[in-house]
Amino acid sequence: MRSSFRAELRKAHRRHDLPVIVLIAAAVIVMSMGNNRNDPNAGYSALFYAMPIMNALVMSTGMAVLASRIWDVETKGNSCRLLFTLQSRTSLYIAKAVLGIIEVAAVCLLECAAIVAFGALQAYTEPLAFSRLFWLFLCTFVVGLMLFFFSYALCLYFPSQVPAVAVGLAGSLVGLFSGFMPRSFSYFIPWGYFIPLSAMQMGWDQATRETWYIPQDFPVPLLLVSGIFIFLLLIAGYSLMQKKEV
Amino acid sequence: MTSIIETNMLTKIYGSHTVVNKINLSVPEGSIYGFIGPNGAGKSTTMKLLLGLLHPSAGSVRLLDKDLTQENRLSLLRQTGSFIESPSCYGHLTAQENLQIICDLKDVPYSDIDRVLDIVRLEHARKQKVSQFSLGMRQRLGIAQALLGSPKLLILDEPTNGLDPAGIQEMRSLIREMPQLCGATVFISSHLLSELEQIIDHVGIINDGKLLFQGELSALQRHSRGDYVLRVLQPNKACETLLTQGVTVRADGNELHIPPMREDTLAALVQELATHDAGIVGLTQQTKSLEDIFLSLTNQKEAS
Repeated sequence: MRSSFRAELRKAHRRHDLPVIVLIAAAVIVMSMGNNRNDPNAGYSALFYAMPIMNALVMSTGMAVLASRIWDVETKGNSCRLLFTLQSRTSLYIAKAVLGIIEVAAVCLLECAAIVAFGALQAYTEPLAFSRLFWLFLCTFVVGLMLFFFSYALCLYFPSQVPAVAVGLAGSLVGLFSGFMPRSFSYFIPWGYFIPLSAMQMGWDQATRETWYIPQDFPVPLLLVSGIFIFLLLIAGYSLMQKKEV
Repeated sequence: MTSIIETNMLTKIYGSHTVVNKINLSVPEGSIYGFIGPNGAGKSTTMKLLLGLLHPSAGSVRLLDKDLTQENRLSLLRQTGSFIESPSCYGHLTAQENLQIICDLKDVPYSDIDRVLDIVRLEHARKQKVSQFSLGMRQRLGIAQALLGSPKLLILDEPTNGLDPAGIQEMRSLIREMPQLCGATVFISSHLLSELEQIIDHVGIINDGKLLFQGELSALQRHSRGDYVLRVLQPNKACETLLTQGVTVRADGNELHIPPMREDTLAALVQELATHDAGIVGLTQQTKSLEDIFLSLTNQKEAS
């Protein structure tokens, strides 16, 4: 298993995964912070509210890009035939999954680190609620993983990476759209789960055009549902890898 | 001589189509075994079965004196080098980095990379990205991957595919040297017998999933005895005499073609023709090229 993962790291060399990770996180950060009303008294709350929405827009495509890049080297390299004589299909699947988990975690960590850094730079007076920061990290990570494994399974199912990226793009639009629909509707759109998992709501007074942020309870059941989806997608991907024709 | 590959009634069926039909391969250790058949004959499927990439519908495979099972497959294949249909390499990495990946997976020290690059004459390109390689260089890199860890057996599926004549020549000389350089038995496939006949010592001919011939190349060459051609002054008299002797004959003007036969039988027949004033002026034996034998073997099977 260790040798399989070492091989995956070697394959990632010069594949420029790191710039892609930074680009995904940067897209979310820039759009979230650009949306920020720069009220130092509610700076963090504004970011906790904006980031899940931007994640819904960016992460689906971002995760499809990460997953397809991880698998694409095998398609382009025509290497499955050779690899399956040197390592088990299971070890190849797990090694790529572990690399994917690390990359998704890196995106989430960058996002959270940016919140802390931005707050310090902007001298927010609102105290940073670390539990909410951790919740944002956890939700982004879990839903990101769910989308990553979905794209990974699509990459294994189709001979080309195009369907995975196309579904990712469509997922971005549908995910964002679900955020503006009733809560019950958004439960049916896993690409947009970032939004119903958010623990921050926004209130808005139409007359005064004033906005304020309302902390919510952590929607743990939906996070558990996402975890179940990850488990199911892992099994589906594993099964596709075992049946992959060479 | 012990067999390094043995199959017993190896069969692969897709739906109602039998792609590999009860094949009993026997590849002697230390040999260069050519596995020849036209496109679609079942060569690649057989090779994938040997490597455990496909599950047989029936029959079994024995590699390196052990039955190939799901449990021991990877440990057996780590003593085997393979090249199936086309080279497997990562274009964004250098030749050396590609080989390091195989070293990691085969648990072979990186020091072996120098040796295999030297064998395939790619030392100069070790730091070059594979995406900049020509097809010939990629094929050689594929062979280098197979050679890592000094495997006892090399399974090469059409390694000369797509190469220009110079590349084919280079690949041929490389493969010919394998048993001396690495002590490896080579099992190599091609759809052209002529491409391999200069380097192989054993041959198996497959068509339509069935093994039509297997043995030493010299045994196949014995099949190369073609018809005898008699030049006579009196073809009608000669034909009558031959027919009364029960010999099938095909007349082409003054030339009569008769099938190969034992030399003493031929001598008696010539004597008989002379007695009947056939006017024999010449007797020659045609020889078939290996390519003709291959075609006649595969055509016979198709006809039946």
